[in-house]
Amino acid sequence: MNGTIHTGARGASGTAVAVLWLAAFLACLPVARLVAGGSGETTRRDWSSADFGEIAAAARGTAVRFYMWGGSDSVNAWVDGYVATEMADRFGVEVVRVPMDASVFVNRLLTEKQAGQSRGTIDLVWINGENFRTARQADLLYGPFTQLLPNYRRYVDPATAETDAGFPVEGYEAPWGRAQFNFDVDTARAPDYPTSFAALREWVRDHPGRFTYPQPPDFTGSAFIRQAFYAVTGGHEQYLGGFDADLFARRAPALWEYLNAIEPYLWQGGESYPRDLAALDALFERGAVDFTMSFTQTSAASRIANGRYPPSVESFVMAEGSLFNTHFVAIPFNAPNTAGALVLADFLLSPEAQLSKNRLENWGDFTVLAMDRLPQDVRERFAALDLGDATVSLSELARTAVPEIPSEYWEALERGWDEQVRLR
Amino acid sequence: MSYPRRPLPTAFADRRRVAFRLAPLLVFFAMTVGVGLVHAVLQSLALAGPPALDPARETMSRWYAYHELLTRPDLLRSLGHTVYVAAVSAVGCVALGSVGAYLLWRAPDWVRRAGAVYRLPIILPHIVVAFITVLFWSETGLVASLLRAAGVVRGTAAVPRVLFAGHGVGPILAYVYKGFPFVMLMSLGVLDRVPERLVTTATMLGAGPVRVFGAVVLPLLAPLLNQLFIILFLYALGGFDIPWILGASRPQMIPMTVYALYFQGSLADRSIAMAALVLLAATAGLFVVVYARIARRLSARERPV
Repeated sequence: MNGTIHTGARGASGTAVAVLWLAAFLACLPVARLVAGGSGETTRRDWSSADFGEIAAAARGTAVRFYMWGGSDSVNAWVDGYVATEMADRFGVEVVRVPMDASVFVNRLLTEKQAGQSRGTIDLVWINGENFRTARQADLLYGPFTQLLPNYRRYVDPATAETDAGFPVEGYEAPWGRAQFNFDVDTARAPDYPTSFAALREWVRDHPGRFTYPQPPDFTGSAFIRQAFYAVTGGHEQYLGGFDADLFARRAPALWEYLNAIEPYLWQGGESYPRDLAALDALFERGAVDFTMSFTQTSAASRIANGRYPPSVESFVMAEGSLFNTHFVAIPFNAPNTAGALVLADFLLSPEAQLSKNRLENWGDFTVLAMDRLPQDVRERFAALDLGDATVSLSELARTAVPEIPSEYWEALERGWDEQVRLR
Repeated sequence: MSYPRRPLPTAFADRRRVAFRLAPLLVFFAMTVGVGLVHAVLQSLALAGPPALDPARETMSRWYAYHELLTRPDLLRSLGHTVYVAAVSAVGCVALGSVGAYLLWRAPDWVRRAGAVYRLPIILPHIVVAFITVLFWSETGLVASLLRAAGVVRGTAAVPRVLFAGHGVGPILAYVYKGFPFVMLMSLGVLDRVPERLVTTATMLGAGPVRVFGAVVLPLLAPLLNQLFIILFLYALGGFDIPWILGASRPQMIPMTVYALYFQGSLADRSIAMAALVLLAATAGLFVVVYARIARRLSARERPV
């Protein structure tokens, strides 16, 4: 093709045209590949009966691309620092963190699945809840794989990671942390802060503009309305048996009534909501609102420690209950480096990594390991962790903990919020 | 790359040669933009895209997405709001930019030299401009702090809400701040080639500065301003960064709506997102055609004068 073009034009401009044709041709290749449905690399090993030593040997010298929510500086720093260094030292594996919201990479995997792309770009993902359900239903995950991880077999009580927001895990994701919902308040600005959803309603009315929550479907904003849903409709127990559309239709109006009643007194008169948790944190730091919220129990304490928040900030939980969930890592169906992903998933479950993650100055995320399965000295080190003065006591966290309801409710609540609250 | 210098080709054969030389570029555009657009249309009609996980989706019509888009009042309102923000921004840029260029053009040399700082926003990315807008106009921003310091208002709740309110002032401020220096720069380029005597003659005939602007400068700038208006309007219509930082929750600007539908909604919502993009592209195309036709008719009417 190039030859005919070259003879068709003359001199310097002819060469230029030929170069342009070549460039155009090369530029079109990726598009053509996408349209045609990707490359056909299918010779990858099945690790399902492999021993961990073999997996680690295969992983040595490779890079693992870990796709995860990137909205927290301390989490990012822990992965880039401690995890990357240890993985390089112990296993010779390079960890490449790629910040991306779970809904976005699930979408990408869906597209890759659709295009028949058997070799993707993502090795390990941080996932849970509705995104895990979507991924499983569309068969986007590799597995079951948890039985391959020595640290999972040794230290995790499988009963604590059997379901993820009501959806069976079945070994397709490995737990790596436990989160519980907290509110953070600046007690210097709001000394009389409310500690129940009932009191919150009154408080917000008396203090216009000082409270707001991230716009669902932001993960934290969605969790906020879920908790309010439990609180104003008589508790979570009724929803645990699977999604019931009739029950939802009967109960949800009480939540919309509650949220619409506080809306005129929210930040910006409720005309706008912070688009995500980072935006709410920024408002809180600027002093525009008195509250923020978080799924990290020690978030306020660690931000006080590094000077982002004043010492007058305190964490608290609502009397009606505070959401408690487990976060997981999973491996995509087309992960180019499954062995590396398995090694990283196992390392994240090691007592050392779990301890390091639990430290206030790192991330403060709680462990998923079963204390009674750990050696005595490790158990003592967990017990000795300093979680900061601003953090809610472990006994209060345990007393108020309420589980997640099936993730179909999450979507119904997010959709309902859009129609009944945002657009009202 | 060097091309032999020769008169512009006008004959058919030459034209064909030009088309042939441009062909690589055209093929590239066809493959990228074209394939993207076709894919969007296909997805909006559920002819491509992920297999629907929602069993109910199978029984829905091909036109489900467009039907939803045109019957959900919030989506239409989003589209309307976006067109409004884009239009007001583009008018603001063109008005401020052309008047600014005129003033700077007539100003003494030292003012012109000092005035060159107006170019700063041109090199700033949109996202930076959005943050600057927050810095100035938020309830804890510079303007509010000054008002509080001056004792005009008390507390953060009393500051009038400029940003994140339904009237779209936040994105408009950002787009105007980013866009008007661009209009000034381009306009000055034209004005610098305008012979001084045109203005002198007009002034001698008794025209004041306003009259000179309206009767001499504006007609000279009109073709350029028309093009700039189209460019700025189209950018604001589809731009994501500024609405992301400054957009209100209600009404939401359409690029944000599309993002939410595509990435955060259910799978059936993806076809609605694509339909919204197709409609946005159609709005943009229609706008360019209508605007160009009106502008041509107006300039044709002016020519005999």
